[in-house]
Amino acid sequence: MDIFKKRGSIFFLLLLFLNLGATGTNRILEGQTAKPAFNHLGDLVYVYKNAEKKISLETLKPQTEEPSEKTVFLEESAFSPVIKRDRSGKLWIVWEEWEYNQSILLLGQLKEDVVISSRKITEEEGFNFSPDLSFDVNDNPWIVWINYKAAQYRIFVHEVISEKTWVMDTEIFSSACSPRVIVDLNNNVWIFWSGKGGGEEEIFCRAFDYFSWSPLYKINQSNKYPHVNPSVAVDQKGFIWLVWSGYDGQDYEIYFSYWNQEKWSEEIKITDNSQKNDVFPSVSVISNSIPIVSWAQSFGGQCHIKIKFLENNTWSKEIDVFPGEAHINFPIMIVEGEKIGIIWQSEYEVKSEVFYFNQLREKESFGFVTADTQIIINPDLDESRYIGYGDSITYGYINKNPTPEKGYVPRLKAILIKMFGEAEVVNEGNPGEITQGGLGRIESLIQNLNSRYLLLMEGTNDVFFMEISMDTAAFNLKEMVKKCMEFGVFPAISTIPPRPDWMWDREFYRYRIFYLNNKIQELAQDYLIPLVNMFDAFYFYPEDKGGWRSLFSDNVHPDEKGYQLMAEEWFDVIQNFPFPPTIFQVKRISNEILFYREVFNHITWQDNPKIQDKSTVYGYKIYRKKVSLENSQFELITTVYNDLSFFDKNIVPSEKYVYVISTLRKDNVEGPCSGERKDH
Amino acid sequence: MLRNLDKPLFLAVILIFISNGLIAHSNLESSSVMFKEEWCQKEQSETQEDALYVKKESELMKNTIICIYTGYYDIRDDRFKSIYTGRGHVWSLGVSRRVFTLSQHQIFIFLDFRFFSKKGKSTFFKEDTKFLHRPISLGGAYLFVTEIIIPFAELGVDYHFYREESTLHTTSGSALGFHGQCGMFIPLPGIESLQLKLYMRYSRAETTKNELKAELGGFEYGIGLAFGFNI
Repeated sequence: MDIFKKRGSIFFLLLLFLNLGATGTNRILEGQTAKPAFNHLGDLVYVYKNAEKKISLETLKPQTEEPSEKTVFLEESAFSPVIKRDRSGKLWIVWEEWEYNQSILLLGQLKEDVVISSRKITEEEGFNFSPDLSFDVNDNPWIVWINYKAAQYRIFVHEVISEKTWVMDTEIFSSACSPRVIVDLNNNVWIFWSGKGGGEEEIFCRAFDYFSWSPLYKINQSNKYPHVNPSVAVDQKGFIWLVWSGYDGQDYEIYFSYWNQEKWSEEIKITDNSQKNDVFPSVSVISNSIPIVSWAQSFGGQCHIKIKFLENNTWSKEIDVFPGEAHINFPIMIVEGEKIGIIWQSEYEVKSEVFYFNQLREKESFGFVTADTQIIINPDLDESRYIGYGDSITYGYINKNPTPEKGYVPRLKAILIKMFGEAEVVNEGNPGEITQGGLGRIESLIQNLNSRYLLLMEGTNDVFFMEISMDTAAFNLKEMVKKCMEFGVFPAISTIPPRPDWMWDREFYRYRIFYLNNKIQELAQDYLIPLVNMFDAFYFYPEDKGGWRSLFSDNVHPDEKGYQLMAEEWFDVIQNFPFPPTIFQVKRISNEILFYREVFNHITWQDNPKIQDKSTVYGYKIYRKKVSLENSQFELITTVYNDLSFFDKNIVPSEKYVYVISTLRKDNVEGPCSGERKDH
Repeated sequence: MLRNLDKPLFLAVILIFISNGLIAHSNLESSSVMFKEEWCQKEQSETQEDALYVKKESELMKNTIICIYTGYYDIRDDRFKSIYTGRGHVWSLGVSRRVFTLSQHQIFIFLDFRFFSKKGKSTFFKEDTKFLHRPISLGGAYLFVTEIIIPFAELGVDYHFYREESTLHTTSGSALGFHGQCGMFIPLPGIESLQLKLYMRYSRAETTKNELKAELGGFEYGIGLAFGFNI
């Protein structure tokens, strides 16, 4: 879930500004095919084809608003420029020049906006394209590119100083793509590319030790699905870090492997999700030894740029660097010391951003990360039982006297029975309780009451006590929500209503109510739980019906009209709960021809009849675990849209599986899981 | 059952039987006359009689036969039947050579090439699949040669080449099997070198691919034409 989208409050925007905007620098320019580098001053520079189809050079200086776009004087037929900085700080540029029946590659040094000492690299006929550039320990440039001639793709490698050119033995490939060159600490030259041999595209490499070329290494494991877009970096220890994007049968994921100076590790998935495409990875090394990977992730029509870094053998969480755009193509990340530059293509615009690694760490530690899926599962709970949880307003007080029979709880129960049939609402209002007290008793209560749903409204008493900050009250509410979810109880939360007493007339207390209610709304968005805005329901009660003050019987408790309003507000939200699907079945099926059999599980279900407005349903999340792995957790295997069945083909026939399913609302609120179903 | 038969094949069989019957009826009288003459010759000379019989039998069944025939092949494997429902049409081309003759008893060796294909659907998703089957058979046949029909029985070994093509998976392989066959040749009166062949065949060939066992053999019956000549 994209936290940048879901946090709408001014407070959040302020926090966001403090966190990124003060130090991050960004730019948007019209153009295409941008490639970045940091110059010797540490500024992000990039070359790209601008709107006038000329090669432009842009420098992104911190705190500078105006673009410094300069035209690099190259032929108009110049395309796809790549710039790299050598160890001495000089910027080099390699580019393609296209004619009708051929293309050539040229290399030069970039001084300001002028290309000097340019020379033709390619002698091969045909089309030469997709160059990449690197430098050995003596700062001699090495270039790799693809040559296409006579319906054959070949990878060429060129050492500029010796003017030697090698061609990789790629005759076995029907295609070759994305060549990359890098020089390791031992001055070995490594070439990587994706090529299609027997199966789908795979990741290959060869290394040159100045005497001979190594055999062909195949990095990925299976050629059943394509593996593409390699990106490579070397760290100070001599480890080579390679990332790429590979299809796993459901969608593209990001994989990595590393060379430990002896051998390549087995491929490892950095991402593992379903329905999200993770593509265009880019790897760099930060702080000399921390591999950091950026990539584009698309989901639900929105693209994000994500980052993960590997520290102490542990990958960080996915950090959402740039939120939802319709198109993010080919993001490229480069690193200079602790500084990170990212440049990407968004339709016809080139966008760039520079920020620092410590900002990234802060984003991770402050929870600016993609929220992990919170699965709410406990098949033993009673689907028709609700807990009204809170203080005296929940318990039911009128004119400062306890009147639970006239509170919102019995009124809500009546509505639920009328609409859903069987229903029970347990009154767990505790008069005078503050959120600390609520947090203290909630765990034992949910364990004893066996209820599936909990309606949480608490905090009115916290507002009164100056010793309790509203942040603490919000934290306590958050912990209550977490405890519910951990136990499999689906919580809904409500803002606290206004109060028609002296406190309301004092700005300080009014501000505390506003602040707490803002935090409650953020909490609902963060944890993707239904929200009842009871404050708005009261405060905007029509004046012609008496206005909001007419809903109260005393200084803080509603009257009967107020409690009826509360019950109706709760029901409005409950009727849109993502109730778990029913008639949930799993069958082991085999689809076979004479000499091949695929075994899978056929999962079917029906919408819960309590969901009356089917348009609120966005999809269904299906979780699975293996029976053989005791104490294992359910893992999300897919999200199904517009269908009431799913074929789980990714199973091991000898294994037995258990499934649960939940309903996903259009606002990404996920309901509790159904009961477990086995495939055996 | 008639509805299941291939219509052109059915009509061809009917036409051949009708024409054969008419020709046979019209020649019946002259044929009996010819036997009377032969009987008279037998009384005159034993040596002449034997020579006459040998000549007739060798003319009825030439020493080399090329045979083309078609029939229905019912692979007995239950899984095959569930995927490729119904019987399949098999075409065969064979060549036989006489290796032994004793009066009316003759032994032939033969080599057969058979062509069988069948389209089907996968069991659950109903994806299209096609089974191609190319058995090659080598064996021996015993023929009892008479003037009206020539019953035969044969035994042979089969080498089955097969390929299953589907978007789900494509598999090819081979398997060894054997078969037994019986039937008859019916000389076509007036066409000395051409005979009608009717046969029934039963074969076995078990194979395993992708951990799935299949029986490629089964029951087959059909009709064909045999062209005989002496070389």
